[in-house]
Amino acid sequence: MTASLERGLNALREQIDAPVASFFTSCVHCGLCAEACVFYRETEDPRYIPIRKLDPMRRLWRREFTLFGRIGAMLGLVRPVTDADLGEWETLVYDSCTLCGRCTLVCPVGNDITLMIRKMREGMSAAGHTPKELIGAAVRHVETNSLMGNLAPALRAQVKRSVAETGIDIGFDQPGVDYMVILSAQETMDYPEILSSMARIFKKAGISWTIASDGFEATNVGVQIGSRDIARILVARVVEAAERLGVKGVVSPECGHAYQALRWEGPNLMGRAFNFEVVHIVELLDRLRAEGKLPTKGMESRRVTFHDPCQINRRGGIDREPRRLMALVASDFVETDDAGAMNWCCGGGGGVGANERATKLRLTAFKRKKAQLEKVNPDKLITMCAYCHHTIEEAMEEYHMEIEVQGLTDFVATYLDDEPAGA
Amino acid sequence: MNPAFTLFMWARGPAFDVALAIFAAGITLRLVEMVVLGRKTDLAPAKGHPIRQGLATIFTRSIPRPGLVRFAPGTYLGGYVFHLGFFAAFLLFAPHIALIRDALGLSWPAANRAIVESATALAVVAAIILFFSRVMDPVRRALTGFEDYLVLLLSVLPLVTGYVAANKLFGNPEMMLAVHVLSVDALLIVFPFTKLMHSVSFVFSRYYNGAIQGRKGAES
Ligand code: SF4
Ligand code: SF4
Repeated sequence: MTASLERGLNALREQIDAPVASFFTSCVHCGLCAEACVFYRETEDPRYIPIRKLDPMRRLWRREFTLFGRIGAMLGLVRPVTDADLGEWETLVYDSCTLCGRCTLVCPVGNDITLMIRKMREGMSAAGHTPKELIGAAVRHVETNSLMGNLAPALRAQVKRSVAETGIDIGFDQPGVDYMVILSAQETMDYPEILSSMARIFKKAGISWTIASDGFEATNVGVQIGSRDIARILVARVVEAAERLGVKGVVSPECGHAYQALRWEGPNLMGRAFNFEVVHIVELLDRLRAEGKLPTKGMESRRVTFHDPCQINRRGGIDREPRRLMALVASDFVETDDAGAMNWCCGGGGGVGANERATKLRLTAFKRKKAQLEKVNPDKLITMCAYCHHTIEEAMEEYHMEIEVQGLTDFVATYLDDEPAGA
Repeated sequence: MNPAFTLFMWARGPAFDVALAIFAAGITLRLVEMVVLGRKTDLAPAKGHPIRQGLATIFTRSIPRPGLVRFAPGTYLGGYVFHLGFFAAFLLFAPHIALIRDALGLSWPAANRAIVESATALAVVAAIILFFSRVMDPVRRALTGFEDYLVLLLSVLPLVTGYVAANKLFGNPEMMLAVHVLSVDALLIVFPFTKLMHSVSFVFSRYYNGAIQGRKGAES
């Protein structure tokens, strides 16, 4: 598969459907999408107006999908999309957009700009205009088992450590259990404490679970690059493992785009509904809480706040669940301004964090998060995406901020009451 | 016969009929070429209520998100006042209602003259604010092209000419009325070719936005 302009344009043509046409038709050029975008807000550079990031796709739509545009094209009024255009747009489409979804919630005519940028990336990658780090990650993931290369030995080691620590067994490839758990590479490498936390919570709740040795990686760089082909290959590993093991459900971990990739894009990538449930770990914990299977004792008394990952709340619909869990274990919980569906992005999602040349822009974008945090001045920040966790920690170091960051599952597990009765 | 009257009769007769035909056929064409592109069935099991939320979003998106207005007050304020003023002047003015009753048989109470005139004046002021924000503000400027100015001008002309004609402010009143109707004809003609289409297509775009978010149980 060699990338070329023609392939890129074809991929874009495939992405143009009735919603996209309605969005381009409706745009009134009001610029309100810019006001919502962290990249515009923190730079005030009009290049970062969200709808402008789609200009080549809009032109293609006009020229080929509208009668007036076709006439305009014949008269030379609507320029064709060139390879140079796509090249020029690469930094706009990949470096200055985390697919955070804020623009989509404010556009007065209802344009889902984020969805269109996700679609635009399909054309960009087919035309060969993708950041090299993302391509590298995709190649590694397709050739091995994770975007960081072969993580199987590391995962086995982390599992062994966890079993030694908790005394709770974690089995690989066990058929017929309740849930198959998948992890993001970030968790396996940087935040492996999640394993012990899940082991304890699931044991207390009486849930059986397993990890598939051939489908444990949750991340999916295909959805970030914008390549349905790669996304399908990666998601298929998880789906096929789950089907082979005959589990009731797959637990999507604390990773934003992984949830998006499996829960919302997954069935569409595979072209069929799954015969198992996809549940986000935080949804599952909230369910256990409601069923009384998540007993806790004690509470965090220091001031705690919460960061909503874009792909899990705004783009994923998980908003109340984490708050009910926070209420269980944090006595001094404060919300930041704009918390919930309008929370500000950490700046690292959508492949931006992996994209070296976007580092400066990402750190500039983080100033919004910084301001949000400084206003409530917490001792601790809880989130439910390992990549947000990583991005925030790294940026806070840059800005000399000292706030402890922790994953929600791990935070809840700290207060899990799993002492044997009477002990 | 009086030339102003002849022009007026032409503007509201044959010219209006042609304009209306272009308006209706053009909108139909644009909606058809949009809808025929279709949409793949989403195979992910819904967590929320896509259809219900799509329909709701057609209305709820008219309310701005808290915290955003302060970043672009001119655009928000100008936008609201212009839309409300324009529709008040169009739909609550007694002679307009009479025309609509004659054409469609539908009718509703008119607003008092002072209200209609204030609404018109406010809409014109709003249009001026919107114009300046397009000229001065870097974001608006980056998005503005010839079409945006044309559409702004053509949407404000019926308001100004209508105000002048109704109040017999200057010129020959019949001539002013003829010019008013001509400005409406012009607005109808450019409608399907420009972003004025948003006044119809917003129903679709808001619906899709709400339905996509609603499937996930996310806000829209
Ligand atoms: S999705 Fe987020 S980052 Fe991307 S353009 Fe929209 S507001 Fe900006
Ligand atoms: S907010 Fe919506 S209508 Fe306004 S410029 Fe952006 S995409 Fe267009």
